[in-house]
Amino acid sequence: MSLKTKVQNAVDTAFEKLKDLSVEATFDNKIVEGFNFSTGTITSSDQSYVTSGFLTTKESYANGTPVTKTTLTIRNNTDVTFDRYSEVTIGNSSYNCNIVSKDDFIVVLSLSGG
Amino acid sequence: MYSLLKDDIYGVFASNSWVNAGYKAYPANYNGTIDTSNTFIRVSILPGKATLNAFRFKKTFSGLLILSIFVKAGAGDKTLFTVADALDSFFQGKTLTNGTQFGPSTLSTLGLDPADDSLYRGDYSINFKAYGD
Repeated sequence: MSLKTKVQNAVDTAFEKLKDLSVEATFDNKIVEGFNFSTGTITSSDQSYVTSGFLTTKESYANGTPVTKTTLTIRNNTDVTFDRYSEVTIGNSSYNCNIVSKDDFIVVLSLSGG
Repeated sequence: MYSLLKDDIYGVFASNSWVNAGYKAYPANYNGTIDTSNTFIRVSILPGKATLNAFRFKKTFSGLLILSIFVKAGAGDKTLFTVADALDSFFQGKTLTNGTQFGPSTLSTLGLDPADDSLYRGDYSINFKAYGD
């Protein structure tokens, strides 16, 4: 068994064991496929991706003001281009999301504006 | 009046003759999918200095249309010049529907695209004058 497979199995196991603590995250995006010069608008289709992940909150202070940083950790899916997603819905809240880090196994996104 | 300028230029890229030419074009501030396997063009409209005609209070402004041509790297520059010639047939010396007038064009070869070295870039630029409200 390759090291990559071992790590992948460990990640899968960790996500499975912590399933009860996970949240359902729905990524929404418009896939822009082209531009119509007749109408001056993009041609696009909506695409969503549903997965589960874990929220992490870190509090810090910037110039004496408390700052809360929320991140979402999800399993990577090589069939999904996460860079294209700019919005994620968790529960009843929609957040803007940006990738903080990404490897073959997990993706960590920072959330804002919920 | 800026919309009139935009309409003029977009009209060229929406025309059947442009579509039949077979080159894909994308405007500035477009972040969607681009088919980089074929030649494509990025359209940047740069309005410039404006003057007001005191006699009729008509605004006139000059500007520059830059069409960045991207062709496959490593295949020579023949396609680049072919596309530039095609662009000349649409813009050079032409007056478009809303009165936008184009002058002579310039082609600058810029070499490999720093963002994607599978592409070779040349900038076709052409001055225009536009008239409006």
